[in-house]
Amino acid sequence: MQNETGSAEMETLTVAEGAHRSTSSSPASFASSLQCSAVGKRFGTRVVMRDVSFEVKSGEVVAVVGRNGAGKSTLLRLVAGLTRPTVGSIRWLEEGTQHSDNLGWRCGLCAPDAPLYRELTVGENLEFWAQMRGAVSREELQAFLERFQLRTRWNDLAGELSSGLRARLQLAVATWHRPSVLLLDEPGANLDEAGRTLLREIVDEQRVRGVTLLATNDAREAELADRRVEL
Amino acid sequence: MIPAEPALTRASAAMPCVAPPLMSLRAVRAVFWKEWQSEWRTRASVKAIALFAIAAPIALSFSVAGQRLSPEVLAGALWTTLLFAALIGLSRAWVKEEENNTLALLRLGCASEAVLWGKVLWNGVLLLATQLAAVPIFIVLLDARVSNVPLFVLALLLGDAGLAIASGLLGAMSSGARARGALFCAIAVPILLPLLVSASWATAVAFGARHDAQSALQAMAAYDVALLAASWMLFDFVWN
Repeated sequence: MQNETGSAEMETLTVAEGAHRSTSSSPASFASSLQCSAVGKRFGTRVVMRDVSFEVKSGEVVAVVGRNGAGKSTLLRLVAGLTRPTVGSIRWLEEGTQHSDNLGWRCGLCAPDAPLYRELTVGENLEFWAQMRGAVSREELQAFLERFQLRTRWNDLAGELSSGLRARLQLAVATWHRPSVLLLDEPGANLDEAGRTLLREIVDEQRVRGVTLLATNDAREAELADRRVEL
Repeated sequence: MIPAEPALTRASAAMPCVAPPLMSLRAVRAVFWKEWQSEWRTRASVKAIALFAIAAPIALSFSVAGQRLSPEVLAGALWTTLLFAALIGLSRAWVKEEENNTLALLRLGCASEAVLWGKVLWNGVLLLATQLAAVPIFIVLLDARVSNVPLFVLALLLGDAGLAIASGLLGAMSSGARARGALFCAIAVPILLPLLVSASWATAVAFGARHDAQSALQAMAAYDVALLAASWMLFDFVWN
């Protein structure tokens, strides 16, 4: 949990095979939360994860940690609804609404495999996603890109950006619509110090509007989180 | 709609998530425009379609070497060429998404209908553009005489509409598979066969054959409407 001084007190939640430990009950002040209940995923005969349960309350940042192949990225894709759990359920609970399984549109996903349109410019990439949710002026988008240090790269092709700038653009695409659920998969892999500072700011801002799941093997990145879910 | 208050500054961090992706003309246009920009810079689909659509009549013209083909044979050759050119190029719109890893983001950030109709519209325009070059070459090289131009154009438009609509749904179905191109062809050919037969029939009449063109056009229009309805109803299942 976040303490009064703002530093993070780490709590490790181990999800062992066949057993899980849930977080403490939700305080009434939290308006929404993400609940994963006994989630399991199998690809063919290969079991990727089994019986994963946890709850993330609005305002919390949770690091998903584990060895390579433990299913960290798969868990993020499950939360986003990009793949379905073999067993169990993932729900977004919001005050005044019924349990919702349709989480996708509330999510912002930043993944390491650079899901960007490489043939489009930086501006065209962001404008495309913006137009999907309504009207946003070019000036607003350019202003938004300022903090990602991409405003001057508006007309550059995404495919010609350095890996660090592509990572920044991915962060911009993942966050411009103020997602309730921010899913970050190794977000700092290609970021420099300034980029990591920006990442920290983004994660802090997300505390006031929703939850963050941060899949990482990097100890520095994991420190951004309030607690951990270990797969 | 996004609220009037600028939504994208640090100060607005506490504001709730913007509205879910909308199915709107703006969204359809955005998908179409994205395809246009992407194609303009790579020209991958245009090259694939144009290469086949132009190379096939050239090869055919050498093999028939001065013989005068019947309207039925000409129409069959034209539509076989157009079908296979379309099969080569139209799946690209989906394959590209898979290659760029952007299918996941599309699922999160776009209304499924906007993706479908944007891609269908793009495929239709792509077909028309390549046929503007390929059909005159076919007519000249194979010495085809178009005796009924409006009928010929109508048959092409109805055929293109069917190809574009079918490629929207079938492209999405095959995009996740390992052998995407082969799967797309394997599904598309049997599904498009009735359309191909009717299109060949109507085109043969336009080339001078004495058949009833009206029933062929009616069959094509009905098939297009059926494909449209099936795409609209099934796309959500395929997409999600």
